[in-house]
Amino acid sequence: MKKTESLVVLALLLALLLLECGARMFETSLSKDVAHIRSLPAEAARLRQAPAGTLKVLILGNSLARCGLDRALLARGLEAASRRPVAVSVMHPDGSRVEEWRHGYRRYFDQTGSQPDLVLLCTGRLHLEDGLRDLDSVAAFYTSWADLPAFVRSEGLGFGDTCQAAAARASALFAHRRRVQPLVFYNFMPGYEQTVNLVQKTRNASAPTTRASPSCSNLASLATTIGASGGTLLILPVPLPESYELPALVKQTAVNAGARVLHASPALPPSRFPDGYHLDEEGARIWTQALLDSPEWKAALAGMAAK
Amino acid sequence: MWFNSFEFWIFFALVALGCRLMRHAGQNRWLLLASYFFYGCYDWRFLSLILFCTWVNFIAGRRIHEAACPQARRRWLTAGVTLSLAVLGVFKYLGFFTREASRLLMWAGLADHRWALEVLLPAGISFFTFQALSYTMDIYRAETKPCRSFSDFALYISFFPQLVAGPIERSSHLLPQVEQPRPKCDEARFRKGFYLVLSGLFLKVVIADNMAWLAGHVFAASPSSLAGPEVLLGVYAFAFQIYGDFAGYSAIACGTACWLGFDLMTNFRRPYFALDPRDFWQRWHISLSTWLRDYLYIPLGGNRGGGWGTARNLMLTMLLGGLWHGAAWTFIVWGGIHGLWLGLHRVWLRVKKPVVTAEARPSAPWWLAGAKWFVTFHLVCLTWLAFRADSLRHALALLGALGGKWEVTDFTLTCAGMTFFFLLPWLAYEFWLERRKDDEALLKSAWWWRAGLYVYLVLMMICFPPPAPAEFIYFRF
Repeated sequence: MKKTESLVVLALLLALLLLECGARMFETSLSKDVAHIRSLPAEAARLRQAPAGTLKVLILGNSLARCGLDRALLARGLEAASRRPVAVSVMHPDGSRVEEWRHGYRRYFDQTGSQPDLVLLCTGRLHLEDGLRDLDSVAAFYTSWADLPAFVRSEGLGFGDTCQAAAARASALFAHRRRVQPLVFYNFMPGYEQTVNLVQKTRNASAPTTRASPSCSNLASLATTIGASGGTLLILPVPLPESYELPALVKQTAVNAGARVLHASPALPPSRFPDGYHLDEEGARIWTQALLDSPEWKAALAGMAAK
Repeated sequence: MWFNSFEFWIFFALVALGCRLMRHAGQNRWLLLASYFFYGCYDWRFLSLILFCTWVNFIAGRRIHEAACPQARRRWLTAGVTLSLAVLGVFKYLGFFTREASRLLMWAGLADHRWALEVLLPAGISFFTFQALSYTMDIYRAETKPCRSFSDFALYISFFPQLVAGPIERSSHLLPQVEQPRPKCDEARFRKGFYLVLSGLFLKVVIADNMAWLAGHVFAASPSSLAGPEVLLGVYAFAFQIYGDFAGYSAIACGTACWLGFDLMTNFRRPYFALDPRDFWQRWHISLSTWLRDYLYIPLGGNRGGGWGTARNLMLTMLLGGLWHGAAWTFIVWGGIHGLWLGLHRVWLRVKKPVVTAEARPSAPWWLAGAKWFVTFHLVCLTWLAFRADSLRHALALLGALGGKWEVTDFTLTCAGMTFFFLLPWLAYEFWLERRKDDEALLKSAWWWRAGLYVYLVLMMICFPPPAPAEFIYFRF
């Protein structure tokens, strides 16, 4: 047998290197979501470079925030209420939740001196409870190398998870690996989306994901970081087809950390949720207007002005 | 510490580095320490159990060898086997038998509620117990000599690559490799190990875990809500889940052991290309099927007792083989179906023509081979349905659903699509190996073929991880 295994290993490493380069070069053109995440430094710079006296607003959330808030209407409403020019930045990566928001806010806004005056945190029912689901994503996109030890400590990661986080931080190919399968299957596999929903429903029914002791340490940390720089945090539960209440622990944590929870629930027919989950444009306009008109909103803005 | 985890590979790198730096005696102590650490990572409390099993069989082996008369030899054999099986019985089967006994008492009106004595199941207990028993029985049969060093014997029982899910090694094969200096990891060993590790990881991470996602739905959903094709594809998915999971584990075990200088036995040889039940059991979990053959089927009489005797021995062997997998009626029924099938197949062969060796048998025309493969594969799948179902009632309900409404649903389309996407390239590769009749055909081909396959395997592992990772199934056995 010829000694050729070094060539095999070399070819494998070369292929991986090429793919790593490809992942880094084309990640933003292949995924709108990654393009948004990569634009976060620019979003932060917009707040940092806003002229003095500007009301700096950050919309934080996921696709619920992206589809649920009418940004133009919100900016006009805020300008009218505060009588100040308004700069709005957004951070709403798809599928993100409180872990991403906490670490992302810290990395892109707090550590760069781009602290907003007002943070509008748009959430669904369970997005604010702890429960790290996407370790790779947080490590790769919302944590710097310098922050990695703090991230590992705060999440209580074990040795294997720490290695995984480091691998995701180091390699774009590794960090993006969970995006490929949905990208391929959602586009080319017949019935995949419906199957995902069906399988998830079956899994939930057969093994309900109830945790013994839910916690909200990420929310508390986020609120503390925002509050430390003089910002105001407003938590906005986004309307869903079925009405819901935030968990009591979330509300309690928000109150303890000096944040406010604003419930504005206008009557929205199911037709305003064309995909069964997100608001359409008209729905977003209705909800944003309802927020601007709510006495709680006005009270919150008044409280912020008094600060 | 799963084989597909970062922890394992860092652990393995340290172990391999240590072995590289040490001489033979030091290597053995280092590997023993590593093996106990590896097992302790699952549950350190059960280290005492593995130590007890090691001690019992070490002593029994020595005493059998030293005994002057056959009665004494038999006594020590009985003691060793009974103690080892008692431990296995308590930890694996006590819950099942007490539960069934209480059910019987309730039926007889002697108890008013069901109860069971449940004990935590130690990882891999069936594997290391059978490996230890093979040593004691081999010494009794004078097929192997007793191990002189307790630490060498402890390493034979606890060697970490195959400790918790096999292959179940024989003392005549593994023990000499423990006792004598082993070859270093040269080019040929690295090549073979690399191939086994990459293919094993692919089978586990890509095939088994993605199929688990599909099969999990079918076996968790209410059977009445499932259409016939959904059940059929779900059973196919489980068939490849269990294959990928177990064959993957075995391949990684063989690969890592190969890098450490050990040669473990091949545990799987493309089982879904089998053409009859006997062929299937010569390809599936070979280390268990040969263990059952050598230590159970043949001592029972094998095929020496005529047609009925052979059928009875086959049935008993397969029933106990089913029970080996777990303490549940579904496993027993699974074994029973296989026993029945093997028995019927043997009868059919006798009726049809005298038994001839595989070499002397003329090769069947392609259509006949295809028909045999089709029937064999689907009968194997049928047994998997019983194996995976939560209960016999559940298995029957799924069978009922299989014969129910036949409509194409979204799940059917996705399941069929994913099955083809993940399995077709690998099965094509296995088909090529099957045609070459050589497990290591790829290692003998040009380097770019290997490079191409490895790039494919690694890319699939990176880009197509399962929606939800699943643990190795056979850790529970």
